[in-house]
Amino acid sequence: MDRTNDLDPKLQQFAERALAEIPLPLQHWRAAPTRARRLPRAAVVVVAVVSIALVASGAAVANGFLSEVFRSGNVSAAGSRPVTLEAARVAGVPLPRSPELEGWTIRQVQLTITETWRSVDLQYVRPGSRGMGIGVWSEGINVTPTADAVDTITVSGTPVQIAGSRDQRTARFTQRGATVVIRVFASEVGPDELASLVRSWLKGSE
Amino acid sequence: MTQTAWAEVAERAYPRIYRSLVALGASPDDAADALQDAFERGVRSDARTIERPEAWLFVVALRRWRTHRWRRRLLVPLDALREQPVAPPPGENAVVLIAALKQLPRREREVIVCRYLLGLSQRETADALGMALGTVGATTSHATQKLKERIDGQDERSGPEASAVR
Repeated sequence: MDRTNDLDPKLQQFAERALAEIPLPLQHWRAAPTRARRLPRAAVVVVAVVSIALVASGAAVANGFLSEVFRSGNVSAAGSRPVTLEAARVAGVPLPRSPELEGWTIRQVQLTITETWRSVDLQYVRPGSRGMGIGVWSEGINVTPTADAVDTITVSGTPVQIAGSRDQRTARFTQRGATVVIRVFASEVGPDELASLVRSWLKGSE
Repeated sequence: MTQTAWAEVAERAYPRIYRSLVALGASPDDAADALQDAFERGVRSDARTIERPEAWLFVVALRRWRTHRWRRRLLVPLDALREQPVAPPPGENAVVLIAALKQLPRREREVIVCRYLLGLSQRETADALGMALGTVGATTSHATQKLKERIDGQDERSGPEASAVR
């Protein structure tokens, strides 16, 4: 490769020094190149898109607010519909007497009934919050929230598992054989307030 | 050119082209992959028709890397799962050069690499990058000035005695 003299000599020297300082791989070439080494581009794109969709949906199920439901039973086989708080009492699980809970108000109640278990999911709202969810599952299923760390405290004599993942905090406890999971956003509700919510729930539910 | 001769040319050119790709911003893995692809393409095609093998290898590897880089942007979540081998770090001058090159527009960066790192003439650079001859000359001059200012600027931050190119 011929050089011409329109280049800056000092920059040329510096570039040569710098270039020599870039380490080379131990092995320059891979073994015998073959034509069939790579997949067709279209196949790579399709596999990649499907993989991304799978990873994304898997992450959503593993970390999302509904992870307990997905991990507990086949929702597609269940009857699930929004109902009033009073109508949800047919599930026979502990539910609050009032739609208010420490400043939170029930926005929606979802009742799910299958042949083997029943659940009620209560969605609460309060001003400035992204919401809070309380799920109550009947006897016969064991619901454990996805969590990075679990700590057990006692509230009003009831053992409560406090767990936290990246942006969620959950309190799980058993009440009259049913499993109750309170799910909040960690940035909005601290451990003390969560314990207080558990206390109010235990006191105000029947 | 026979396949043996092609392999010898490619082997001789490997260090400079590989390092030039890294200087342009390619990761060690990407540079090696791009160069491997270019080499294989040379093996598959009729190497006798390749006039300037080093320049040809660089251009094919450069295009391969550009395509790969674009595709990787789409596949970042998957790529993050790949095991990343630990490569030894480049030297201080190399880091300064790569950092300064990164601040140049892509065209200027590629012209500088062709001219200063690969040692291509203006004509060869024009052919390799698909530019007019006059544009290569003007870009070389303009980019050289900017690069010198940036490299000296970095050196002055680490000490006035360290000026590399002034």
